[in-house]
Amino acid sequence: MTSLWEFYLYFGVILGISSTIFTVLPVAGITLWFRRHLGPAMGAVWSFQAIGVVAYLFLIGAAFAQLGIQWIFWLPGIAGGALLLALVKFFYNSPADVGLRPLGDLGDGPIQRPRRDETTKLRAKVFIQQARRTATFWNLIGIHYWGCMGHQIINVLIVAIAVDRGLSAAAAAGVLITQQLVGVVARAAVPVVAESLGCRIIWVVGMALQVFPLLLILFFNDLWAYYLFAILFGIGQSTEVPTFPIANRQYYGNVPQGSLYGWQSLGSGLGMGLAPFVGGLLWDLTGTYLAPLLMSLGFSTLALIQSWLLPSPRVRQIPDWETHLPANLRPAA
Amino acid sequence: MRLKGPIHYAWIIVAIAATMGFITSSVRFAAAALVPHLRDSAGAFGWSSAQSPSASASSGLSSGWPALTSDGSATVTEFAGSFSRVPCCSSSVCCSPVA
Repeated sequence: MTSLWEFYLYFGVILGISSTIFTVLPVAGITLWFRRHLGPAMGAVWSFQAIGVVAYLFLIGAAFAQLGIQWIFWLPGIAGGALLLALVKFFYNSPADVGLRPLGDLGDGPIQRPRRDETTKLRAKVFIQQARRTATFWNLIGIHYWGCMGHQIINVLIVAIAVDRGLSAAAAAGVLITQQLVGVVARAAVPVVAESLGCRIIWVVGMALQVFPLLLILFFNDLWAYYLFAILFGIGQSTEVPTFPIANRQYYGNVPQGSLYGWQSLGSGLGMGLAPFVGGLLWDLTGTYLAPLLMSLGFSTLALIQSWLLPSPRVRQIPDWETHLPANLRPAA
Repeated sequence: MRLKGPIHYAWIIVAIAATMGFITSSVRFAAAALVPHLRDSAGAFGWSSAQSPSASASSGLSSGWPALTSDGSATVTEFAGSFSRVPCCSSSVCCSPVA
């Protein structure tokens, strides 16, 4: 890699698509495997993702000088890619594919193998049409969009901002590592707590922790401020993403989650994509790191407002969506 | 595939998904630590503050495409199946509640 367009193609487009296949889609798939204990399952998945980030940060710190930037990308790419292809062989889209019931499903009827007919597609289509008419559907996308914009600016630029303000490269990387280490624990705990307390309070507290700690590094340029920020912000940003599968189930029940989660991932993708670019552009134009920091503050505040506007997760949205199916497809009363 | 013993295969699925996330998220999100190297005007790149995270931008935008599939859903095996010979099922099937 020698030019910018190659970096965009390899890191941006190709890695973006592949990481979606192996992160977003398994999360949607897992919801089909669990009737109970979805919280611990999601906690394990998201916590491991954070461990991966920390591990890679340590690899960069330990081996960048010896390996160079090329092998820093190639090493996990080759080893990880081979492992991914091996793991796909053991992944099944739903428990019925292998003659099982979802964990916690106590039904005694026959296990139905997944159907590939138009009925299934029509059910998914009617559900998402009804879901789109609820404010909660758009609110959830908004939280993912603004929330991801708010924290992705920090995730991508915090090291550069800290170095620009005088911290050493090692201390600046330590801020990001601290933030991610906190995320390992927080992401494991958040889905479990969300399952118990409800998603709304988790997001309100979490987005507040994405907003207020930013004031620390806006007003203080000391090492302690950065590390306190990393701990608080690490908790805050960890509440956002892992809570969505739990929230979908709390608001919509055992419904086709793939379409819901797909829309929410679109919001997240747009947010995570646009924010660092615009933040970096404003940094270039204004010549000050204040621009991306203030942007992050504004976006996270919008996510906090949208979280506050969510209805109670105890009240099911569109419980009657199946009445909108054609008469011959409606379940018996 | 059935597992003998007390472990439900759902937990194996969790372990697989967690490992997948471990691998892919690491490179994608930890690359922020490389931004100072990419911005370093004395180094091999010397890109600007906007140029360096722009790859993250296209990466994020690329991640939104599942919403654009037929019913907004997709499955792991559907996209990776061509590499691993795992049977694929249609996207909407995998999002249907199992009775």
